Amino acid sequence: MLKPKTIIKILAIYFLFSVVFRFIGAEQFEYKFVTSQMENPVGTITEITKDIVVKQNFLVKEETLETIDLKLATFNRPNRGILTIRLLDKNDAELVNGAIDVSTLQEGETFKWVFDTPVTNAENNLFSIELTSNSISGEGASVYYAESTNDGQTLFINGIPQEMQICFDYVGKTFFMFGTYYWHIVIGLALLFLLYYMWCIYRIRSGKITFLLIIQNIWQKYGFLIRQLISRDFKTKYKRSVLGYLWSFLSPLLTMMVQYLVFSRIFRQNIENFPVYLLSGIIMFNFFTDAVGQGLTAIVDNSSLITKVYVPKYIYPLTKVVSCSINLIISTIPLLIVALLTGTAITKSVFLIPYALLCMLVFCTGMSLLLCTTMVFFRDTQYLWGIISMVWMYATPIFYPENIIPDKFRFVQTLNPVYHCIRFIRIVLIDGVSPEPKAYFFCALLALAILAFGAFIFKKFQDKFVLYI
Amino acid sequence: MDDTMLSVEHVTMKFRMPNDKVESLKETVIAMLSGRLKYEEFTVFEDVSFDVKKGEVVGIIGKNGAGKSTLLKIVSGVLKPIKGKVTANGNVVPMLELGAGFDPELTGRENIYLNGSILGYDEQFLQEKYQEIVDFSELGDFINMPIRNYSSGMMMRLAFSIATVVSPEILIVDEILAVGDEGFQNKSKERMLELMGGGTTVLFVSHSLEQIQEMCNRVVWLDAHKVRMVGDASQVCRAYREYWN
Repeated sequence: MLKPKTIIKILAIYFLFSVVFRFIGAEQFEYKFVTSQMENPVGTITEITKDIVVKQNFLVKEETLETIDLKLATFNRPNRGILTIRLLDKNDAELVNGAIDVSTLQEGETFKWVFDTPVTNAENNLFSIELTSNSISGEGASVYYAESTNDGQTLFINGIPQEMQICFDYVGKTFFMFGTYYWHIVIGLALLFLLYYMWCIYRIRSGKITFLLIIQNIWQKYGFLIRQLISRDFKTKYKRSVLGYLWSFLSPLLTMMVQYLVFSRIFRQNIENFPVYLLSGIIMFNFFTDAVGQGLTAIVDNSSLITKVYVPKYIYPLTKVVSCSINLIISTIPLLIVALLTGTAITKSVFLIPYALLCMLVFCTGMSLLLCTTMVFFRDTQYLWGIISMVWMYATPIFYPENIIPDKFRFVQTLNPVYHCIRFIRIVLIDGVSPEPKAYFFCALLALAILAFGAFIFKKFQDKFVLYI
Repeated sequence: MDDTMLSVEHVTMKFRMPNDKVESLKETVIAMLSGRLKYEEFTVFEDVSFDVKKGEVVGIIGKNGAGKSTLLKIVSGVLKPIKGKVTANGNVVPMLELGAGFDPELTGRENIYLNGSILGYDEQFLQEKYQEIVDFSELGDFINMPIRNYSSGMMMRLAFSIATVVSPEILIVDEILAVGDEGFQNKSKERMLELMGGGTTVLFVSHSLEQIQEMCNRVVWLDAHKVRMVGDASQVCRAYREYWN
């Protein structure tokens, strides 16, 4: 059983990681900025002169309100005067005010009104933008309007409600529970671990087995075998090729170049840093097909051993996936190099990449356990998998932008763990920040769910393997 | 003190065999739809019990299909019996079909560690025994070559050396194969005898009655899904010979 000293070490490492993690995650753990949708402009409302009051109500769903964007119109003529813009709360009390010199405006310009101090506690409150002017008729500016979306947003001109709304959007912050309660969660998990450890000690004293002990025993007994099998796979992978491990670099790079040439004309405009976007997708997906493809045949290929020596059978698919992941780690090096070459700033967030890789590893282990089981009973699995992995590749946004998938098929993305892991890496590399807490959650949840399912199926059928291989 | 190394208690093994071996989804679906997917219960043996004491060499005999190899698989934990249980007080090491578990791309040296780890030995133990294995296999400098370049004799010598130089607590032998040239054959036979005489508990299957009689203390005779006879080697062998004549 683990000694108290080891437990203290584990806890120390855990807290160190928590601090580093908090530091890397920075403000992305606390909040995100949400921009509301600006509707398409239909036309302009009436000219805003000194005897016109335009008032647009709107409901804020975020916790703060920081910026308002307005699409302004000048009627393509020189105007004069000051357009006064005020933000009112639901009781018509003024919160912020600003002024626009209409003579400097361009036609169709989007005016960004950034508040000096954000409006807080805005969630689910009704606000209104009020526009007044001192311009005389013929010299006033105006705003574009869009069709009304009828969700509590009403436009009043001189107090008369209108069947439309002005073209505007607002930016607000949404806070995450995760960031707000980060240290509570960290300490809570540590306490849970300690409790579990105590419970284990109690169980062992009363002579029962615990999960922690099983893991420890397995590692003691089969750790050497696991290491041998992994190093075998790794050593033999490129054994007889001239370039050897260089292929782990070259293969994703060359694929990236080919796909870049083919797809850059079609997609590059919509995608920031297309080479990194492509390469991150290629590397992750290659690992996925490679690891699952090898894990799939792990049981059948080792039939001569399985029928003779007792070794926990999951070791075979597991070691295949782990040895492929070494390859994955090597191929993140060209990814970082390409990111540097294309001028992306490498920030502290790169330290989050291992998280996505770990989730991929867990996910692929689950898939391998599942498929190597079906492979034993149906050899067709191998050929089916060839087709499924191809469909899977097209369903994952590797070389096309994420948003071209229609909304009704969006669930395909949401349920695809590979997509979440690729997206994670892209945010980390291209945007240089940590993804939102939900992204972590999705990566881990889907990966663990697949692992649990695969392990369950494997466990259920593993005793029958010997009869069928 | 109880020095039972291995006890087999009331072990029953049955296979549920589909009428035809169905290996593809399509075939299964068709078979299920047409109602042809019937299973046949096939009893290998029922209620087999015997004990093996420390240092004993126990032979298992019986005609083809009597379940000798199945019994070995159950003892080594590869197969789970339908009923009964097997208790082993020590690590059970099977002598693999020579060459199983080798990787042709790796060198002889790497294969010693790979194969040794599969057989359940730890790193330190293999490091201690490494030189002995190399010496016994007479491979010399070839040990650092990938074994795909080995002749079949060299491969077998290496496999035999790994399996026998490390003396396990319970060794399972399914037919001793005479490997290599005349010199190595004698050496390997000697080694087997030494192993069997030297405190290792051995479970041994062979069709050669001479070998059984020569090496075993006791013999289990499987016949007609049952243990027909357990007892002193010469006694059981005599009965077995009479049965065939």
